[in-house]
Amino acid sequence: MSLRRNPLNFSHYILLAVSVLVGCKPSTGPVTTAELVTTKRIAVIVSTLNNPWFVVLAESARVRAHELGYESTTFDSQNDLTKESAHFDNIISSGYSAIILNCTDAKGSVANVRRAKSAGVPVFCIDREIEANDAAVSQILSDNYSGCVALGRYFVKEVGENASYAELLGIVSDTNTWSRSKGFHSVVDRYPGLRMVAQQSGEFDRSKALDAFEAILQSNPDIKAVFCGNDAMAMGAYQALVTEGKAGKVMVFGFDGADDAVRAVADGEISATVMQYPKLMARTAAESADRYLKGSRDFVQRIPVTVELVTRENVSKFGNYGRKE
Amino acid sequence: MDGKNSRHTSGLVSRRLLTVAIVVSLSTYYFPLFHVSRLSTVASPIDFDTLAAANRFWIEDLPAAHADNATVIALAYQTDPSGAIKEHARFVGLGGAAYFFIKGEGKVVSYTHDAIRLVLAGDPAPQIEIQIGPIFGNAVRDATGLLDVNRFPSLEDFNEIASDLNQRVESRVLPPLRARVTVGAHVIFTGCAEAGESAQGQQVLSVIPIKAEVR
Repeated sequence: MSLRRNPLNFSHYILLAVSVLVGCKPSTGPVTTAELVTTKRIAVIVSTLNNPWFVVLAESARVRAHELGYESTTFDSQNDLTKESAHFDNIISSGYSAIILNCTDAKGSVANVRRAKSAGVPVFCIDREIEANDAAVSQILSDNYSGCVALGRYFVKEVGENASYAELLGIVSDTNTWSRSKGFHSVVDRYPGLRMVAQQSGEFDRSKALDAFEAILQSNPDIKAVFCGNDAMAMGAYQALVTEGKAGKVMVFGFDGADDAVRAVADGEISATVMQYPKLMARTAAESADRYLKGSRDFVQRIPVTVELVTRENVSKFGNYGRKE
Repeated sequence: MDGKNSRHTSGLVSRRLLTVAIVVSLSTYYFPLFHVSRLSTVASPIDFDTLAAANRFWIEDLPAAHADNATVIALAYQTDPSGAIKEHARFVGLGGAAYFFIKGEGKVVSYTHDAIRLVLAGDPAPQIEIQIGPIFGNAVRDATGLLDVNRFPSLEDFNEIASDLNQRVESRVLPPLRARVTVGAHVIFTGCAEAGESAQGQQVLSVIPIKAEVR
């Protein structure tokens, strides 16, 4: 047996194994130029491309990564965690050097991010939070709750302290849905005269919101306002009002700062929306990935991004998914 | 292979295995394959106690935090809001959210069920508003900069702190203020004010008091 004939080889195996195991520890130092040359692709995984706001988010990340010298590809998860998981598998096996992630599920996506981390692929979350502090390198997040606190205060000011209203929720498994709803209710529920007579999910989708709100209007013809968890649903709700001949009689409140909603605020069709900054978040994530790949490890886990109330009083300052330059 | 050679080979194997064992022991001592960390030094989101964090902040951190002179800040804000924010405000995250943490005193010139208008001590004497209605937003949580979002398991927990602190203001600071306020009364206060871009356009700073006394 070769081991007996040359026992020194056995010690070599052990030393080699120890060296490999020690060497397997993830590097915390700067990467080399050679590594950079061979790994220059950044993947952008987005929850859905069936909403213009997310298209802007993904495209802004992809373009900024390209400007920084990386090849960049966008992967659409279609709001499906299984598809997102498959994207991660594909991206990891294809040798991408970093991932910018707009997740589909705050809890479910954590395993995907951990898998990428284990494979040495850093992940930067944008807009939507994952419920882990030790998986992503950094999370650049819209402060949905605070935005809806501001929206709730404006809602009370505009609608008054005595009225019936409805709420269209987003996807019920999405944390943003509840951050927005909780922020809104943290204000509005303080006023007992404001009565929520219907609360349904429009799944962040314009046509589903239209259908849901038409049914709500038929059952509750006296409502004075509707709070929608995003602008797509607000536009759907407004369309339902037009169809029912109630445009201008029921106030519509949205969230996102999508271009069509901002125009609708300017035109008086929607009372208010909340501007998130998809371009700012996406650019910051791409630049963070670039810094990471060049050796920086100085990242904070969560970076909240301010959101701003957009009303008829200040709408002229906004457009193109942000403040006008 | 005879017995002598066999014993010699066996001895050689033993010595070399011993050498390997020593090398492995030393290697793993200096380069351990895993580390055992004290739980107290590792962020433990699951065990995070939001109420305890709010208590600690309200009782220990907030009263000890440095507050700027209200007259100086209010005058600067009325003259040049952007300059005052740049020089004196505390910024949070990306996008322009900023807050002042101030203390001062002044005379009540008017009040409603939501706010007290004060003219501050000083020459010239600027005016500010003290909020006495329902308290919303992140000013109390963020104005001192002592609470870091990254010490919390999620943004939701961080927002719960803001809500908890606002309720403390409403239940502990505002009732005696509302009860004793009269035009001409002297108010000594410490408080937080939003100062970011969304707050610009306000004529005066709107302060949420974390401590107030009417004389």
